[in-house]
Amino acid sequence: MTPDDLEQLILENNDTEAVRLAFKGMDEKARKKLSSTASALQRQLWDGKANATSSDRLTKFLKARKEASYTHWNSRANSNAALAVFAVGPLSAVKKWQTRPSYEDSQVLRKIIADRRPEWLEDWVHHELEQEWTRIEFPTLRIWIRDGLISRPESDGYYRLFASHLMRTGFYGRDKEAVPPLSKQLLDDPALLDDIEWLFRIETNAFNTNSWLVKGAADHYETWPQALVKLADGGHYDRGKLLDLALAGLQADIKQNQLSGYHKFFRLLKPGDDQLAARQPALVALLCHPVGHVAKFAIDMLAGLEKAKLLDDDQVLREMPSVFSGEGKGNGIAALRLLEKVARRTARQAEGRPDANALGAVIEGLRHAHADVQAKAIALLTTYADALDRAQWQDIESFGAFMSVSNRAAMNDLLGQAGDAIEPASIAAAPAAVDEAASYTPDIRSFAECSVLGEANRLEPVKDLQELIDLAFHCAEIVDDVDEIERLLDGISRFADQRPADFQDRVNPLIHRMSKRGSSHNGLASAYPGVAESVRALVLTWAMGELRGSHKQELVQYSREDAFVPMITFLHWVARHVHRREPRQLLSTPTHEGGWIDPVVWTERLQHLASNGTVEDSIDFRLSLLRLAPDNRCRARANAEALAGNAGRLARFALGGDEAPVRNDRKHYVSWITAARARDPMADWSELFEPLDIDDPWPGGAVPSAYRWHSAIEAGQHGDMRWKTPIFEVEVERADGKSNAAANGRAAFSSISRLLGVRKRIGWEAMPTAAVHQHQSKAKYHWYGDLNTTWVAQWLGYIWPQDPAFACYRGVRKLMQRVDDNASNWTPAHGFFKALFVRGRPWGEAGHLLLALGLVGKDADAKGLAVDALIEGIETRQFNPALFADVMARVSAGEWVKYNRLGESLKQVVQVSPVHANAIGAALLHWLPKFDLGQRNAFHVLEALVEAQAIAPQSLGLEARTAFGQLSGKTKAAKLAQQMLA
Amino acid sequence: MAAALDFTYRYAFPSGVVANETGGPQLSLATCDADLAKPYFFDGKLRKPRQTGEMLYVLSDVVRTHFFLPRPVILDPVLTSNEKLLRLEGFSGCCGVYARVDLPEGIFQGNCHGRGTTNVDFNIDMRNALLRLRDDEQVEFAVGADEVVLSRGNQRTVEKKVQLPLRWIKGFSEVQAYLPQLEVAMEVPAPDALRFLRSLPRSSVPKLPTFAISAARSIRPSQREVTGAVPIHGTHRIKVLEPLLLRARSLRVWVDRASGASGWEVRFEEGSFFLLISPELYRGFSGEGQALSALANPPGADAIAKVRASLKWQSELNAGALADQLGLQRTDVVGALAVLGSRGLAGFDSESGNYFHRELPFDLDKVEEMQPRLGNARKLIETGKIALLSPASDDAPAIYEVAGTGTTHRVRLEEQGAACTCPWFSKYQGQRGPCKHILAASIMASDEEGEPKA
Repeated sequence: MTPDDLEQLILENNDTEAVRLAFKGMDEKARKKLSSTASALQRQLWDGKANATSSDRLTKFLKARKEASYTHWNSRANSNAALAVFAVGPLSAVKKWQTRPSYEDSQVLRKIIADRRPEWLEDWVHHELEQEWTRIEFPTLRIWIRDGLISRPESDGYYRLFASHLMRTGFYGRDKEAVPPLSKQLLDDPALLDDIEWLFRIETNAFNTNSWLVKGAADHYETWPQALVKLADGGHYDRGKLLDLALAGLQADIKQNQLSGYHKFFRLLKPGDDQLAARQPALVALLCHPVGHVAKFAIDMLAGLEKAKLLDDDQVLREMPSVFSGEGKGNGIAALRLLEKVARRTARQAEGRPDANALGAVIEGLRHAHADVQAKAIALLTTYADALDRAQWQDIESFGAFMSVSNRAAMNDLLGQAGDAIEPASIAAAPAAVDEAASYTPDIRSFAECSVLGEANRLEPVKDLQELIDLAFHCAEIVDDVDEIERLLDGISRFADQRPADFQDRVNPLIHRMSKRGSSHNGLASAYPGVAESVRALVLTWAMGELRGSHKQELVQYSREDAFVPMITFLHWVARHVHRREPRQLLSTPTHEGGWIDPVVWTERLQHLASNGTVEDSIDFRLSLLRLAPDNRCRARANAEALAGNAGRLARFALGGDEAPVRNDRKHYVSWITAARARDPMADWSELFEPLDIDDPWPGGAVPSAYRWHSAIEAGQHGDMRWKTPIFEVEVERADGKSNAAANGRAAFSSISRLLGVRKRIGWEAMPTAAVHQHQSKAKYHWYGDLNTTWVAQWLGYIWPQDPAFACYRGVRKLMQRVDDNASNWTPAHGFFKALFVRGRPWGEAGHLLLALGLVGKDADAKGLAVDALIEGIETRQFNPALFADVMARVSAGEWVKYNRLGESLKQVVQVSPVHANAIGAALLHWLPKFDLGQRNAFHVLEALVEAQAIAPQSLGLEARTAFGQLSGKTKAAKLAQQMLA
Repeated sequence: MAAALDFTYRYAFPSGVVANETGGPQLSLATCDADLAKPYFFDGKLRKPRQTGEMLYVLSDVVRTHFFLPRPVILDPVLTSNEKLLRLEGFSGCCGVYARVDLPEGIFQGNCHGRGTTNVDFNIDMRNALLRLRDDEQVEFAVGADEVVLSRGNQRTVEKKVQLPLRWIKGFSEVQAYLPQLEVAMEVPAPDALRFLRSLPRSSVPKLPTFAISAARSIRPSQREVTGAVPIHGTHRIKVLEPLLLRARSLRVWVDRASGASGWEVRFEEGSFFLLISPELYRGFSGEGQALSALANPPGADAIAKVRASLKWQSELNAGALADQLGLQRTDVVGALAVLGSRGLAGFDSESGNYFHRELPFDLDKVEEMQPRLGNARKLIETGKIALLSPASDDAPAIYEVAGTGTTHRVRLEEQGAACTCPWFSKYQGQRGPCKHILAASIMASDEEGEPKA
């Protein structure tokens, strides 16, 4: 065969048998001559590209292929080429993963190999079996072994193939294949029986318990465990050996899933008592197993031996304490039950004194992670307290530190029976009921009474140009916190005129970096469209000295936050000043973390601006109004007395002065409304602004906003599939309950007035306090929007720190979208919690709702921050138990809450201090009487209450007593309720 | 550069808990060093078998784990022996967790037959047996075996062919650069520490770093970085300590505030288990560049040679005493030890604040070659891509210009630290060691003329 013949054979032949026959009988020398041609052809067909030296035939052939090269990987020509490489190529060529004949060619490949008998076959098989996926099929291997082409491989891959091939269902792609029962396959090839023991030494899927593995199988189908039991029943395989193999397998270093398969198989073999007794040492060894379900299996088997009166006490009691090192409650309880039986039996045999080692093992149970296990251990030790020796009492005493708070009283009762074995002083006094005067009281001050400024949260402005450049470089890569952005904006504005000779050289790497775009989610270099892109444009304007736009604003699928519309206007306004190199102290730069401005500093800024001209009614001015702290307003108002003009009037009005808007202030309506909201964020100002005759239909304008929300669940069904979807809806409207249309005020009259030019319509885009409540882009994709950048989410709460409810509700929406999702870098939801860490401002309903959703969500970042917020919120008294209880009552009405998550979070908080326990206890005692304690996993919340009561007891009110008293039966919730009522 | 070295652990027998001549248990650790010798370091008895077994079990957990990929590797720990202490060090497959077991004299009684460092065989059978050691047993303990035992030849020899990733060797060496920077952040009683570890998430894990914060003489996890908080990225990495805390005295938490690495030391009445975790789950210790400053401006070759010659498997190397002994400045000795540490020739004990001598039993010549950032810095100098723009003056730092990709970076060498305009420095602010531009500038600055070296 010439190389040209070979090419023709590969490209033009559709008969694989003809391909095989073409190589039949060819000697190795002839094959070697064709080797490079076959490999080159195979490579070019794979890549879909002809070489410079390719024949016209091949070039034309490849040119005729219009689709991507991968669509031809299973084509006839490609498969022929692969067969040819096997027929003539060396080991290095067949080892390449691209050299793969199609599955339909398996038979032909087998014959080609049989004809050639290549010297590399053993090495190739070894190589293939070491790969994660191999193309060799088990029957092929068996034939080659039988025909003496290779010896039986000893690699793990061989046994994996062995396991998976024999257990095939014949379902996938081979529906005509009749797969005989597995036991029959083994008996038909008895040499395979020797391989069975390897299934217990390496990781295969023979004992995998996933149900999909047997989906669609025939009625006579047998799994490996079923087949092996059948072989044992039929006397074809030794049952005892299988039992030993299963136990040995449990000690192997393999996946938990397979380990469970081993012990299920062991049970399936139904060992008799004598067989179990003979394997008692191996079962005892498994008590130390780090995998919980393996240890549980051992406990169950040993419990069987105890029942059969065959338990080896010495062995078992020596190892049983290891069980209590694990976290699983079930194992701990099972171990204690077995120990209880041993103690009872040995006590009967020794005049009421149980085996000392049994009690020693029970003592170890006191260190278990779970309170129920500890409680059972205490109960057992209390039963046999008379039999405990001095050393054991001292052990019990030393383990007191491991005790959960809910068990401390019982532990003290137990230690009370120690007599002189321990020092009486070591028995801790039970906590007294919390003094009413010392109990937790939340901060319920109004906004005007709050104080939010302090030395600890003061922001340090950028001090010089170099620091500003360094900060810009850092923010280009990553913004650690939104305060960095505030400092950056302030620095750029103040140092806008500073352009020393080497300025451009100093910032060129920044421009280069920002132009190339970065990779970090939180860096300005890679800012997404929206407000972040506008900040990026401002930084580039400053660095390049030319006005830069934010060109990505119009991206269709991007959900831009309406709340930031005024902020984007502001950023463009700053950019224009910077472009003109006009340095200015921005009025809206926060002086303190949280977005706050000290009113005294603010009036000084106004005075400074006034001394250089007039204070314009700018977006900077409006935004600054919304950041004025409640502190120092009187002093600031005194400062503002000297301010002339409209700005002076606005400033004095915002700070609580006697000024008021007049009809001539219509063109400054937005600033007046903003000043009014700064003066009292929640007031209804419509009456005061009536003379201005402005059409302001927006929530957050003259009329404050009101949020309404509800939690529910919706059942769905498609065919046999049923599901439930949590529903959580948040709506915002004007607090006066009038819809936008109705509030347009007498709609017809309003329209006529507008047409006559008398009544002016204000758009929400111009009015920051109205924009924050807009949510026009809610229909777009939540995973692609402004708020997926953490510092942007944090910034939301900085727009209007005086009333951050809108930011909390926005966070609530986001948290609900991913309530059952893990923490994510792509759609993080933790930025919103920044609003809860702003000190001195009560959280209100929105804050408590945000907190609640953080606590019940799956996102570990959000949940962790919610727990922190709760802990700090109790310390600062921002947490309000009654409000939280009301919020939880409404949230839980939806019946979708995962109470295990909530309970776990609350337990963490309870343990911080008695004050925290008191606050959580108060919240739960408010909430639980309004809650259906029969809901799934509700007991987790009761556990938190039990812990709280153990640390800081409070008397149960009538409502709580009634609710707990209604719980009956043997459920965990009922037991806990009874415990609290006792 | 190859990504891994072919390495074969060859042991005369498998480590394990076997019955001794009297039928009692014996914990035997098989040894093998870089020259394929099988040193015999110790035999005697364990005074605290259960504690020792649990510490070795957790060490085996670390060395067999890749903490973010399901890629099981068992890269055996190394043991350093001298009369005062047996130390076992292990490094995780992901190169982000370093573990050290310190077994002082009080834990065992017996004879030290030699000083040195060796790999010790860890296998699954031994691992299963470790948790079954009990304090009420007389457990014999041997590291290696004497010639008589080995000459019987009735043991099954063990050969484990592994691919030692170069970054694993490099990380194992470079981890010593972190240890001197650690400071104690808090120490809490074992029950509180256990409660803390149990409260860390198991399934749904945070993406942000978790922090350990001190709360009323105890410790609790937090997602907020408050003053004194210790960052933990990948909380499951410290959960491996759980089994040790049931019988421990306390947990001492160490932190390197500059890098974010943290140390978790379980302290017993005798002995301790030390775990160092890298600043981030997906960032191993190799490539972090903490050692680069020391390597870029090492003390003179003479000083390094003198210090190296004085290494005799000491369990503590007091820099002051060594300086007096060798006639060197203390700073030179500290610098030399840092360089030797980064080459795998010394470890650092944060507790004593001193280095100790041990030589990682691998081909350490390769470690020298595995500093690409330093190599790139030298390349910048060799190719003339760095120039001194303005020398340092009383009121201004020295500024260098370095040609980068598509732009020119600026490096400032200031007393309070260097800064660069490259993305690497801008993002990490030196937390992951100096960038190649700063390294090149500092190398140039150490040259009197400030001219690039030929």
